[in-house]
Amino acid sequence: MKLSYQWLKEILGKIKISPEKLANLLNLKVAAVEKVKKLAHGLDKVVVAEILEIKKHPQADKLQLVTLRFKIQNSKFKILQVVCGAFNIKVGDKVPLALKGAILPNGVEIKESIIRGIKSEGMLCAEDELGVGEDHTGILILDKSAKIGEKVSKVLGLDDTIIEIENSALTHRPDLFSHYGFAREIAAITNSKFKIQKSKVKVKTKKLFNLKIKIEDPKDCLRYMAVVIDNVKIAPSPIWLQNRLRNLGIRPINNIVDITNYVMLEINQPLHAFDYEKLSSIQNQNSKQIVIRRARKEEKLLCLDGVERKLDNNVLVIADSKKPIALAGIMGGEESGITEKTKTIVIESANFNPVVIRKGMRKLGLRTEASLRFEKGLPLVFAKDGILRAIELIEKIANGKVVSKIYDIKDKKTEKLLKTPKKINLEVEKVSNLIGEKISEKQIVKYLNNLGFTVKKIGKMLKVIVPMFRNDVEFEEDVIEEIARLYGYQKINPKPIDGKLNFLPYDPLLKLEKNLKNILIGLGFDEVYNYSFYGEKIINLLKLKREHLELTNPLNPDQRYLRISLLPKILENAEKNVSFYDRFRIFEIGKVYFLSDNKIEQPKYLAGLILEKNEKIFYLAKGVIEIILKKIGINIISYQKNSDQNYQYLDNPTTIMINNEKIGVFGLIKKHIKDNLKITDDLAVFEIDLEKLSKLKIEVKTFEKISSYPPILRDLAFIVSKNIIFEELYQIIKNFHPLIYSVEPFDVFESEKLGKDVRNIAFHLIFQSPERTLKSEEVEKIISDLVKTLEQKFGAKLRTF
Amino acid sequence: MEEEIKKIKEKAIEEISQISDLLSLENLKRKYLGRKGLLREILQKITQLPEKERPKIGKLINQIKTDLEKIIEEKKTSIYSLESKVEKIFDFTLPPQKIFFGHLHPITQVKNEVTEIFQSMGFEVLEGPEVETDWYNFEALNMPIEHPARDVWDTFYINQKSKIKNSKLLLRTHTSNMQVRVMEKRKPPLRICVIGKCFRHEATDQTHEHTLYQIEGFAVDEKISLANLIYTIKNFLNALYKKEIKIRIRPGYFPFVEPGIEIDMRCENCQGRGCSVCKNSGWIEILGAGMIHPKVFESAGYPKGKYTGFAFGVGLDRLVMMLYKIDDIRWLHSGDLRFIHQF
Repeated sequence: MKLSYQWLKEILGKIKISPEKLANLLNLKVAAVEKVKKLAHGLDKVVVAEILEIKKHPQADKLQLVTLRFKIQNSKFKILQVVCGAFNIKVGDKVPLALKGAILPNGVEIKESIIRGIKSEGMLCAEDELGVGEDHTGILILDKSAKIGEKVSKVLGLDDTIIEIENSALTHRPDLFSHYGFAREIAAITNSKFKIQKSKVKVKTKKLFNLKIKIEDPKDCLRYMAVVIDNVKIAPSPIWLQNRLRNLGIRPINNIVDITNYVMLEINQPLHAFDYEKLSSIQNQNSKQIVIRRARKEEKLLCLDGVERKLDNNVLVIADSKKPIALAGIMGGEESGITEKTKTIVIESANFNPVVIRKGMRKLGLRTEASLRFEKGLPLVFAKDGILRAIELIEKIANGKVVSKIYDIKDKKTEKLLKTPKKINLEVEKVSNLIGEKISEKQIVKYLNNLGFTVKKIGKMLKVIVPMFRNDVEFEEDVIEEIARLYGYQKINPKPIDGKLNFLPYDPLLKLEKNLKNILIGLGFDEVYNYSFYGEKIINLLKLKREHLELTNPLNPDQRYLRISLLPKILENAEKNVSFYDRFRIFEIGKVYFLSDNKIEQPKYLAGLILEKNEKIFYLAKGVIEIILKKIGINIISYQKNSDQNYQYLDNPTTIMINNEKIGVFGLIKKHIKDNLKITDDLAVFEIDLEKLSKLKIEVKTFEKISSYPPILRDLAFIVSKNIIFEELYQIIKNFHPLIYSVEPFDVFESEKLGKDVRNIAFHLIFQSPERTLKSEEVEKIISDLVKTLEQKFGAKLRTF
Repeated sequence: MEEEIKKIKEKAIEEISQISDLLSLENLKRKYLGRKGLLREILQKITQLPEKERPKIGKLINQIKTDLEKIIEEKKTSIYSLESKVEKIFDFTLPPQKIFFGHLHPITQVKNEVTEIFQSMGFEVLEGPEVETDWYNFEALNMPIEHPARDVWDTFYINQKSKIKNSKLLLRTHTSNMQVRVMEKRKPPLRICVIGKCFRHEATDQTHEHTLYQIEGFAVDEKISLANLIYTIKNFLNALYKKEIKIRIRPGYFPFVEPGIEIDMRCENCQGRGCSVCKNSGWIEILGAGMIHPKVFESAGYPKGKYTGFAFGVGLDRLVMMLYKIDDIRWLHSGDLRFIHQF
């Protein structure tokens, strides 16, 4: 929403504060200010020049040589030549000429230059280069009345400052999309008086022209006002009107269209003008029909922007007796629009259902200044203010004569709404309680009066009557907001919360997550954050079988599916980093998403990856998993061969089990996947379901007495068949005798020297008693029994060194 | 015998004077004072003496033992101090041995900090679901279908096919989805802080991300005020930046609060004078907040008019970027270890 400082000044009489101070005040009391832009900034050396001659550039088809006549202040006329790339100019046109030394608002400095061999002594400017609009399709052609040599800033009325308000900050304030709206606010916050001059239009007509207006569903259109004006003379608007619109980002078209736009910026009522003659007549009657209805299937409309749009039941249209002539509240139709030949017009000033307008504009993908206002829900009173103001201006500027009554179609509900302003009861104490600052009744009443609210005291309560232009005020809290912002948020003293000091639980999952992260960095893992989505490519590469949740509107195909596992993205991380590092460990903790029994599950997972040159990387990963789990208090871990369809890309896939529950998986990345990722190092990954982990019962550790008697250490190495798995051997040794205090494997290897199909497994054994010093004989006895047992059970042979 | 003992002493002293290393000194100590040392040998011979002389000789041996111990100890000290005086060539500029230690992502580091600050103010920290229903993300927060304010939160929707019978599903656009989720399960007093991943359907560039992290805080009780909100925010910022931070409060619009405010922080980069970080305004928008709207309490099923509450939302990634002066938001999800290793 752009505001002209000059226009506000005109409405308010006198503003004593500068545009910058005003913007700051609005920012603190009304709505966020996006920027403050001084229009004439940088246009000192841009003057009006007249085109004397246009020639082809000898060396370039897309350039022309333009000879111009200009002067500076009171000097004599001068002639110069510029090279120009635009073709919308002709001899005799008055154009903005930027002279040497000018620094345009976009920062471009004008210098004399040689363009394809020809000297160019200045530049002709388009709208955007002057900072007054977005148009860059051609040079801005100035009005014929512009004086040669005059500063363009004066000709274009650029002696103004534009204050731009953030639209999203006004979503709830449909009354503020106009200059009157802001004038009211400024008066309220500066504590000055303000009254809009009511339009003095009086309709004296013999009712020559008739309209038959029908609203099919009063829920779609709450109010429809229209009037027929004859004898209009279509012409360019007066310069002041053109300038005002252009400065606010709206392109001047002709007097009628410009007036409708002007009224919208002034009062905030979007209007539309139809060519009366283009509306189909009702048979045998001297009148035209206007129907406000939903579009029918297959109906089409060529809109004012030149695009033909297919319509459907979601779109509200204005139709004549035959077909749609405009998209209600969004854009007019080309056919019924105002042309140079138009003599008689219909001005529409309506109030449409915001939800219907929004649905329609989203369906059509079309946003306009009108729909921006209608979708917020306009105050019903604006329709009348708007049409009267339009009539006044059309009579004055376009010589029009009103030749119909002013139609005002509305149902009883709307009529009642217009007669009964909203009333809200306000508790004075509640104001202070909610704001946290003592505000007196007198102050409250003053703030509200300033904003146009009427306040009556009834007992302890205040009865607040909401002005008709404030649709947004519905609740007591809405009224308190008005008081708070006029009081000034900045003045509120911070106060700590008073209340019960309850026990504060710490979400076990979040606590676990934090612990795990600290453990993992200690183990040399770097943390990454990845997107929650990936595409078909990686799903196919890894052959992920589980059904993925899919986005309806992904930003691109690579972000179509919600992850069911953290590993796909982590593998991508590895691919990316392998060119910079020869070893790394990374992890991520985050949610994954999938369907389970038709319900959405989104558990949190931990995934890790280890990359380095290490033949035993599988056991390194296993060590990492065990340390992590032991650190959080889980000592008993078992493993199983994994056959999950979603981890088919793993070699040696192994399930991690705790208390017979599967909590995760680990393994190596298959060769063809590594090749695909261009990774040659060894690569192990793991993934653990933290949801399950956080629910496990962690038993508190019990202190184990430390024996004060000396231990006896023995190393034993066995040669056993490869068919015997380590765990079997280990369990037998560990549980062989109560005096075996600990068993620690230290050397597992295969060698041709040992023989085929066998391997060496060596253990450190510690013998210790909590009660006495052991004798070496009893230890030797246990060992020889153990060796015998292992030989009988597994054919294990004690290795002699 | 007395002579013999004195000779031993003299010899010992003589030998000690020639020693220059600790090992020889230790050997010497054993030779004279050890369990099988010379003094011990003599002491055992004492029985051969007449009883009258024994105490005298015994005393002498003890005296010599003490003396020698003292001399040895002194020698030891002098050897140590000699050793330490010898200049050795030592290059402390050689690199340390490589120790591999991991790095927490900067988002985690700031998240941990924020968690601690809010816990210290009595807020319970939660996370909540990322796949969410339209109800909790929008409708329950006073944003019915087609509410124009929904434009601010461009949304990813889940393709629901026929399988999922839930209401319309989407990726949460803010952590405010937890407001009604918590309130419908619990009664005030509530002090909750929700930190988590959110999603916006917008193209990614230097300053925009479709994946972001938000801190949502809300407190509900019978007398919660705007002044409480401002206190909470001010203390949060002061604790995070470890100094007094100036704030500016402006009106703001969010459908689920009324009154609604926006809080700006004075630009720390230029101390409010204006720079490229704050786009020359001296202030940085960081936070939207306000008093919880009565419609939200209605969605949660709270009795009308009984409670008041405040709510606020801060972009965690914005805080991270400001704290570490990260100039491109895309680094955060780059998975690039050259980035992570800096923190």
